Amino acid sequence: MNLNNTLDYYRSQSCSPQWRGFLRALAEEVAQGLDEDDQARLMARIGRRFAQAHPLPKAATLQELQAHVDALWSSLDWGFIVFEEQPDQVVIRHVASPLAAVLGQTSLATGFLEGVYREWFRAAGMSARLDVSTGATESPDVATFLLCRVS
Amino acid sequence: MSNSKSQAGVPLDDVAGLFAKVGVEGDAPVGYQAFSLAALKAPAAPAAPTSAVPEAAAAAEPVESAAEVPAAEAVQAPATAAMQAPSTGTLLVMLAEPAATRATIAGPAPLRGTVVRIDPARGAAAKPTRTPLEQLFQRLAEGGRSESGGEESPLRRLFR
Repeated sequence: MNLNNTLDYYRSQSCSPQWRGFLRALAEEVAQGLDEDDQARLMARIGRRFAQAHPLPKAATLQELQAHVDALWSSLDWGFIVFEEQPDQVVIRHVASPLAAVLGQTSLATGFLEGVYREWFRAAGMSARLDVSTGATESPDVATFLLCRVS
Repeated sequence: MSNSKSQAGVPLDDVAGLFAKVGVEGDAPVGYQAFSLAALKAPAAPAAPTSAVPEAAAAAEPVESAAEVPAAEAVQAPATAAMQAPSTGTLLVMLAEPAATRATIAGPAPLRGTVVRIDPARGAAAKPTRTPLEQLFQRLAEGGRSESGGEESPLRRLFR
């Protein structure tokens, strides 16, 4: 049995058929009208709204914050996440989001999550000198974001 | 009651009257006039204000020694601080501290007129500690900058 076929099956099931066609059509339309940066910017604004509509409980540690984020995504069937603290940054890995399953790791999909995490970390106390940005793609199923100093 | 009188005709038990009589009419040295009844009743030179000195105005002035501290500060305000605080801080610092902090300071009362010094670490110890998450944000913001402003992480270099 081919592992890729198995994964493709799970990917196809991670987003409701009810929304798959709509999302693809929407993404194509947006991609025609906006360049990559503007697509990411637009989706980050939508992500910010989403985060504001889904505030997280107060967290004292990065582990607590990860647990809150994970609980929320799990309740919405939006995959799971892992925070990795490094000396100069925090790496955020979001695994198996339904948006990525439909659109792939495009600016639309990653831009949305980037905006969500930026807003959640700001609400958790992230200073203005820090920001969340999209990192390199590790896998079709893993979106990577970096929280680090930007100025 | 004695009826004896001095040569000046003033009852001997009327000391003030005696001084007045001697000072004004007698041949006593001029120094006696300082003890005359008039001089004794004269209003004294204005003393240092003991009240009506705003505490905020007093606190705004740098205090070098207790001699420059208004009487109201030297007597009233230290009732909760200077009279109890150990001699490890300036009076100005002490006055700037919240009353609650001052009230907790224990120790022997210093002599009046001494400058009281308070250890600044006492105030710092009362500050709430930051959470690990806040400390992480602080560390990243201050020293955790990557060479390319955050985009060139080890993770990114690995996947190039």
